[in-house]
This record gives sequence, C-alpha cells and structure tokens, in this order.
Amino acid sequence: MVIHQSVPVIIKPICVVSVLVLALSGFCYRSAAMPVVVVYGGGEDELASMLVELIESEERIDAEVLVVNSPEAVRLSAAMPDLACILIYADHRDDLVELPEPLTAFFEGGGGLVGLREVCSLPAAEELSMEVFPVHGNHTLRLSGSTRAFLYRVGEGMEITEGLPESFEVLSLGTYVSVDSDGDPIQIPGNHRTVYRDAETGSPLVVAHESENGGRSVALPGIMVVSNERVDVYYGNLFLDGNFTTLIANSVVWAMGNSRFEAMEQDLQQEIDEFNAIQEELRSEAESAEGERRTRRLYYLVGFWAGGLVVCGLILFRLVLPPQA
Amino acid sequence: MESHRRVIGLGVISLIISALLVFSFASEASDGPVEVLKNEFPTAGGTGFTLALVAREDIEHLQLRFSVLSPEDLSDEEVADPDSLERFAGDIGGYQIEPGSGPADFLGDILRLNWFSERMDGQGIVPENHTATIRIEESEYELLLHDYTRMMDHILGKNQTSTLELVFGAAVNATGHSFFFEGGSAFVPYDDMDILSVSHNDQKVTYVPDHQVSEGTLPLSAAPRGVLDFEDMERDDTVGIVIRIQPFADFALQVVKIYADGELLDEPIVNVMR
Repeated sequence: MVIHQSVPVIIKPICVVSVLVLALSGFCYRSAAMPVVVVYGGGEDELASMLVELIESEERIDAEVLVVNSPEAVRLSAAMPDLACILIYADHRDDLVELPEPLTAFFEGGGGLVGLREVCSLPAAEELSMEVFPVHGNHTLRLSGSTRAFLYRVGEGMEITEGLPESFEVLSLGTYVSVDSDGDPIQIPGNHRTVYRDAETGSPLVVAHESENGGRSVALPGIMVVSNERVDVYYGNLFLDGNFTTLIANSVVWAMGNSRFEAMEQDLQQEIDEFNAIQEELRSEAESAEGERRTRRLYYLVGFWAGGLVVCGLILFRLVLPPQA
Repeated sequence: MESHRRVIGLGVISLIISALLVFSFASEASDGPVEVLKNEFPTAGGTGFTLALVAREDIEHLQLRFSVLSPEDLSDEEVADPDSLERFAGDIGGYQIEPGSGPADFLGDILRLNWFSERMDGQGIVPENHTATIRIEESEYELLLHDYTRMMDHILGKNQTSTLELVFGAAVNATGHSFFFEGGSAFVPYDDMDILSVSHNDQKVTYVPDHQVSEGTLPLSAAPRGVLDFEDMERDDTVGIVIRIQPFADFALQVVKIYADGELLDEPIVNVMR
C-alpha cells in the first residue's frame, strides 16, 4: 500500500519514497474545496507517475493528485468527500480485488471515474465492466505486427473529442470486446456513448457513460501496454503521443464534472453540521424525557407516601394510641 | 382486648411502611434505556445469530448498527516500521508487536489509516472510537475500534458506505500478540444469508434469498445492510433479530452498537466469531 502526492516520474525504490512523502502529506494538505484526483496504476507505479504528471501539467485541471497503489487504498479513497475522479489503469484481475462493488456504488452515487484496460474486462472487473465501464469485455482482440496500434475513429462527438482529430492512432497490444458464443461482436445496450471506435473492426475504444445521479465514467479498453522499454507498446511511448495525452486529459476533465464532488463541495460542512445537530437534538430530547420521567416518579412517590402516612396516622390514632377517657 | 388492637394496629402500620419502601425501590430507574435479553452468535460451524432487546423506557429513535471485521494481512509496505512486526503463520495468524504496546500504537503504525484519518480529520470527519476487552483462544485482548460508518452514512448515504470498509480495529494481548481488523456495516460475515428476520413487538419482517421469496417475505437484496432503525419505542417494547447463515468456519468480529436517541448504550457488544 502506498499513497503519496505529487510524485516525480522516477521513483524507485517506491516504498521508501512513498513512506517519506506520505509522512509529509499531512503538511501538504490543502483546503477542503480543492478537488482530489486519485490515480491507481495497479502494479505499474511508473505508469501511475506518468499519469500524475500528465494531469498536473494540464491547465484545465486544478486538483490535488494522489497516487495509491493498492485496492484497499482505492477503496478508502472512495469515501473521501473531496474526491472528484478516480483514474485507474489495471493489467491484472488481482489489481481489482474487492473494488467492483464500492466503485460501482461510487459511480452510482454520482462519482467520476476513468478506467483503462482491465476494468473493462468482464472476468476481471465483473459488475464494474458492465455498470461503470460498459464494455462487457468477455474477449480480447489482439493486434499483431511490428508497430501495434488502433486507429481511433470518432463516433459520438462530445467534450472528450475536443482538440482531437477525426482519427488517430494509439499504441496497444489489443482491446477488450464483447462477443457472443459465435465470436461476433455484441452491441451493448444502455445509456452510454461510444466516443471512439476502432476504424477497422468498429470495436468501442472510448465509451462515456453517465449514471442517473450524475456519475460520469470514461472507459478505454484498448489501452494495453507493457513496462518493457524495448517493445513498441511500452507505456512510456504513449505519453510521447499528444493525441493520447489530450484524450486522457479530456476524459479526466469530463469525468470531474460529476455531481458528487459538486454536491459535496457545497454541502459537506452543512452535512456535518446537520449530522451533529441531529445527534445533539436527539440527546437533548432524551435528556428532557429523562428529566420528565424523574419528575413524574417523584410526584408519584410523594403522593404514594402521603397517602400511606395518612392511613398510618389513622390507624395510630384509632387502634394504637389508648382512647381518651 | 385493648392490647390486641394495639398489636394489630402496629402490625398494619409496619406492613404499610414496608409496602411504601418496597414500591419506592421497585420503581427505581433501570440501568439503561435498553436491556439486552439475548445475544447468541455463531462460533465454529454455527449457523445462527439471535439478538433480543427490551426497551426499559420510551425511546423515540432506537438504532442498531452491526459491523463485521475480519483479520487482515499487512504487507511491509503498509506499515511505517516493518521490522517492528513479526508475522505468525498458521490457523490464527496475527502479529507480534513489542510487549507493552497497545492497539493505538499498532493502528498508528498502519500508513493507509494514518493517511485516511488525516484527510478525514482535515474535513471535520472524525471516527467514533471504542474500546473493549475480548477473548480470543483463551487469551484476553484489548480492542480499539475506529468507526467512521455513522457519520459517513449521513454524508455519502448508506448505499455507498455499505460497500466500503470504514471500521478499523486492533486487538493486542499482554504478550504483544495482535490482530489488525478491517470491516464495514454488515450483519454477518457472509454476503449471502439464509434468512434475516427483524421484529418489533408483534411486527415482523423476514428477508429470504431473492429466489425464495414467497408471500409474507421480502428479498434479501432489499434488506438493510447492517443498520436497523426503530421509531417511537415504548417501555417494554421488544426487538428481535434472527439470522441464519451457512456454517461459519472462519474468524471475524461482529460488533453491535445500540443507540437510544443518539446516545450509545454502554460500549459496543463484540462477538468473537471463531
């Protein structure tokens, strides 16, 4: 588990540096109104750092960027009221352990997410690949050749396509697609937009989705890269491609326009105050009810004793004391 | 004859005064607003859980909050000082920390918790902290819990917080053997219950697996997730919760917190399920 802020691109050994930065994070904390973007690179810490650098260099994104490197930390971050977006790259199902349910709830609650690669795989990401990143990827479409890349062709134009050409290439090993038992592509039903498709096969490469409560997600199933610098699909090469960096920045900007952060920014203090006020009101009601109960009991006992003593007095005068001559 | 009258009179006066004293003491306030009548939970191979309560006074709002915590493994990267932890393999697992250290020291060593609590503190969100003494394998452990669920339910909504693990705990015994626990709002360790029955006096709601729903039952998918609310309870009202699960063969803590009109009733009930 590592959580750190504003990390440089080269960080090895990651543990030592992250512990150090973590220790400093308390002092670097900014105001509650600053949106937070959480970046999770699965096991790829260097890729995560590159994504952080990309987001931090983007003028349109005025956010605090945090890097986490365990599913547990992603889960914890989903509870943060100032969280505006989670950016995930995962290349193995183990990177997503116990994440589908909380991230689905985060999205349905109005949160923003951008997901690359494994989050679109049905076996690995389960409901996440259906409810949040609606690719339903049950099959991998692999590319071959010396320079492997998809030709992205614009589908439904929207904010994510701004500043990007009608078509452009992005390096990749392959992509996740949804196919039937015969291997034919399936059209995924639902309220989402296929922003870019593969020019050759028509497979969705960028899918934008909004939840009923204003959650926003962008799925990029075709960003399959590796850490080996000697191959064409080395992830470092992606970040040299201006179209790719614009695509990611546009996706983060769009996802950050979700309803959760906006609502939290306006209402968080009010919610906390309201919670404390409700508890205080309940406590004072309980105290006043207890006071009333004690008073009632006191009156009851006083009456009871008075009655008892009167009866005792009568008996005393009539039966016990000798009658007057 | 005269002396008989006096004896009878004194006897009657004694009886009346005794009755007054007995009534005075008998109507003395109870120990608390709620009394736990029954608390049964599954241990090895068990399947049943029963909690029964009775209100000892009028309560406008009674809330029962259940959470389940499991012992978690910590990697070297997750603790500030990995050399201070010795891991135990085998059935019960856990860690050896320096004897004399308490659960607060242990929790304070876990990086992600420090980070999380700092960030939440910065926004005015603080956990409820509880202590308890529990027995695990015949040894007594001091337990410390940090629970964010109640405030986060209000901020994020129960739907979202019920999917998050926002309760953290550490248990440490006298020799320094310790556990780190993590969990969230839930009745029992399993997602799938065989039955969940919640009653308030004669009113009863029964939840069963979705495919077994029949008349008079509701689907478990619609059941509350670890939090039960009862309104306008009167003195002597009863509440009962009955749960059946598949045979339990693991290790978990079930924590039950009872709030009467916003006030936590004593310390939480901690059931060591093992």
